[in-house]
Amino acid sequence: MNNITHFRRGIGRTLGVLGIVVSTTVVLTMSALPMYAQGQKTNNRGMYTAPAPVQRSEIRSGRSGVEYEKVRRTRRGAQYKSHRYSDIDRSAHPGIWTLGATIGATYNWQTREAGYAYDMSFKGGWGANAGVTATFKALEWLSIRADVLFTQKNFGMERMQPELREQNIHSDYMCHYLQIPVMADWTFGGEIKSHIYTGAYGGAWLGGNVSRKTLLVTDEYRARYEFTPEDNRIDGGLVGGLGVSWDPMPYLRIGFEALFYYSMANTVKRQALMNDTRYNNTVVVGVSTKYVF
Amino acid sequence: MKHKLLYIIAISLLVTGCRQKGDIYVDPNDPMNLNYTSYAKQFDIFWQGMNTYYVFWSEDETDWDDVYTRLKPKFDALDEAYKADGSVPDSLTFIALYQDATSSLIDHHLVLRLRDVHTDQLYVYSPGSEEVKSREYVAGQKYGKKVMKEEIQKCIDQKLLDAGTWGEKGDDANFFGIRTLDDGRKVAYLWQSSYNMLASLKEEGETDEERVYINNIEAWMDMCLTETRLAGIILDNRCNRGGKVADLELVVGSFINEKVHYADLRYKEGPGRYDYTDWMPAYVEPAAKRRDIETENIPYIVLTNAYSISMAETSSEIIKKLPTGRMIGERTYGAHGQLMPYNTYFHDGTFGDINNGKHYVYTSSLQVRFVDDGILEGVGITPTKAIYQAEDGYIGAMNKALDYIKAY
Repeated sequence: MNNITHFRRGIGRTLGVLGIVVSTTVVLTMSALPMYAQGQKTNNRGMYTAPAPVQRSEIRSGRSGVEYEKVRRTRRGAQYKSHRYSDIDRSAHPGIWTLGATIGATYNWQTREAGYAYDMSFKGGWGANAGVTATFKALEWLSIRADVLFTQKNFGMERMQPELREQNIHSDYMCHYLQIPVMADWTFGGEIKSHIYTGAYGGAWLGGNVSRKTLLVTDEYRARYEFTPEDNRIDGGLVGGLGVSWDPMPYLRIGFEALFYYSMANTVKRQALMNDTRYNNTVVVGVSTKYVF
Repeated sequence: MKHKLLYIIAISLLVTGCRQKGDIYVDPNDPMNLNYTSYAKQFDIFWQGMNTYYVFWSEDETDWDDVYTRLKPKFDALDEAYKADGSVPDSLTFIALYQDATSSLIDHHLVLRLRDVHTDQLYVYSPGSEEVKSREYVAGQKYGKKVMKEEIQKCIDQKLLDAGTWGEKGDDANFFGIRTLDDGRKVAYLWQSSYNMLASLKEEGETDEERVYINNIEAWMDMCLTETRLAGIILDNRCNRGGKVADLELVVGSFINEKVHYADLRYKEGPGRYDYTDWMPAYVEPAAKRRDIETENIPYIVLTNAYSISMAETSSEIIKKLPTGRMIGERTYGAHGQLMPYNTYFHDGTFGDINNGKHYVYTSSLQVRFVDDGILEGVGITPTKAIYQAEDGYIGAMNKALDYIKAY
């Protein structure tokens, strides 16, 4: 019965966090729309109409009157505009700060010294990631990014002895982490921007669940993970990755990214004589929506 | 742009060296690790084996790292002494070192069997047994099968039991007796030196003693289940060294209507000290043939002493909590952790091989946490009514049980 209660609590907690993230995203997106509408023409149905394309001659002559409007020439000689919504007054909208929400999937696996426990096979596990993300643009090509994330670092273990495999003896761990990465966001490109992220993160292991089939029970069950005195609940390490982003409308930025969290905190506390190392490796693939201030 | 990439590459290279290298667990069952010619190596493998295979680290207050740091130099000294003049430690010195290492461990199933690395002399040491001997109520008392035989005879002589039959099978013995009360009602009494009831009932028996042994179990069960004028049941768990947990089906399952959740169990699922599974409930199911002693209001008394061990304790703990159950006697031995037959399935329990190697450590595979009472490993089960042999003799508990049944 306790297991079921824990399971329900676990779901509740996860949904609660997701709810906060989704509502943050919706609020930020909605708040961007009226501002977008101010600078836009609408048709008789109230729908937005695309602004008239800026003429190349206007750009060259600087007659568009927009401070940020530039024509850049690539090595191949092609021309493109660096900003699509050129007729908005950007002086009130410098785009230095962004704040938004991110949501995505995680794939985590552990690097561990299993020693002679050779009948244990560890595998990676899929999970969820969600949170709040903010950037500060220091230079045109460099921003500082910080997130507050709920990240799952899940993994599984199977027993390999034939009799145990037949009985499907296994443990699937679902580990919930709070983590705060701080990254340098190296930005390249024009309308669609590319990002390279490099940084570090700190975090905490909040809790978890285990789905198990053991030798003493006939059915698989799920229970809350009970922390032991040897669990290291402080997490930290390096993070890096790649991303793309674009601004489909003023004040709104959408990004896709893949980040790799390389934990340098052993999930087991070091014993004096036996250092049992179990490090998490986590890939996070996600989408973010940001409000551009 | 090039610089940025260089930075990224440099950081990546830096990172790969930042994690600590883990230590590899030493397997005390590996044939490569069974034989050695160094005392320090033997201690090393023993320490590592316990570090992984001991199931009570979550409960034990022993500082196992400190044990290593403190004792390793002493084993090194033994090796040096051997190198210098070929001397080997005497039994007292050798056992004293392992006693120092293990005396505070709570697992009362724990028995070390170690051979001298040079002479192959076998040493056996049980820290739990030492702890029990040191108990105030145990000191100076005699326990064992022989003592039980004498004491049961005393019960017959003093008319506490009408008569009974003594059965023997191998090392095991049992006694079934009846006491007819003044009002004609009867009390069923069974003593056993160990638990192997279910398996014994399936056998025919080769000698007369064996047939009596098997018949004793059948007769007691039969009387408990069918005797119309049953005043009470006495299960004597004194000087019972334990055995098959499956026998709970007979001594408990026969007297319950609904399954009883008596404890939670867990084992280790990894080489780390705290790699436990979750707690899993353990039940006793009602047997097909059973009697509702609660409705019939028949008292069920279990007698215990300091040498009621393992299954004798588990059954006592459950019977004590039955609606008409009562436990009379001494606090028990304190070895409740269960041992599982297939050690390679677990990352805990017994390890080593004394026939082909120089170490064998007998230890529990499962932690047992009794419902309400928690983990009592090393402590034992406390009776409902304490009667000490030192004060009232063996016969004291028997007297108390019969008085209780008469007054029930």
